[in-house]
Amino acid sequence: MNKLISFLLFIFSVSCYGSEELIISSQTTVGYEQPQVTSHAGNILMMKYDGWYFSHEIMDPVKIYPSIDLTGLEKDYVKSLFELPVRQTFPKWLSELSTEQADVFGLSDNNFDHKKLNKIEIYAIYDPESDKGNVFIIEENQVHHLNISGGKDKYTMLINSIKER
Amino acid sequence: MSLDNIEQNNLKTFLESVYGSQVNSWLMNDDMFDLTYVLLQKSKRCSDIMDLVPRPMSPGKSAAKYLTKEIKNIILRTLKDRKQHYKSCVATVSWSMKMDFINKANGL
Repeated sequence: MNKLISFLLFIFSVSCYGSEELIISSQTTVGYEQPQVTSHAGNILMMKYDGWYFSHEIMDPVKIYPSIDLTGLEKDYVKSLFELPVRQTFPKWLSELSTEQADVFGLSDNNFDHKKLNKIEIYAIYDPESDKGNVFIIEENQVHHLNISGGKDKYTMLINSIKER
Repeated sequence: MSLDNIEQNNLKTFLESVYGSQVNSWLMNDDMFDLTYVLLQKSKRCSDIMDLVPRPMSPGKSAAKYLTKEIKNIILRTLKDRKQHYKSCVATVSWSMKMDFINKANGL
């Protein structure tokens, strides 16, 4: 009887894993499991679990850096962190900023993940030194930034949970 | 020893220049000072202010507890007086540490 209950609990927990769906735009959803804490501060929604969290925000090109307005450039700027040829099209100061930011995120030698779906494009990097990941979802009119702090398995799970609607 | 009013104001002025008006609701305490210290430490272009810190300081140690009141005072006054310079030199690291600050501010 105890074995049957344990089995049913296992099946129930597996079926619930990632069963929730966070709609972040008309084009994109992110699957997630029920968090221990949900926090909404300013533009940022955060789901916190035991030992890890992920957050979501729509990138505001005016607020990425103090005193720098990236309006109209945000999609290319995010791509430039991952793609050297894009960075090379920038003026020197912006190219240097992109290089420095890429270094801070832990990018080197194509150690990033890239997915191109029908309507969205995903660029992501996990830095094992800091146990942090940065995931960018590029849509036609906006860029989403998912920030994750936790193990690589959680990062991989998060990327795989991003779907087009 | 916790930050006094002047130190809290200096810290808030600097962090507001980096993270904007959301900082107004953040509590300026030792934890926030420690995070700011890490922000400066990770920002390689801010090495001049780190020269004020006596070496060696063990990794993971609380800067707020390790540094003397005089050194903390000098660091915070320098950050406030030269905030244009320091907000620029921490720019890229500040983006990667934004959630650390927000979580700390919200007690998470």
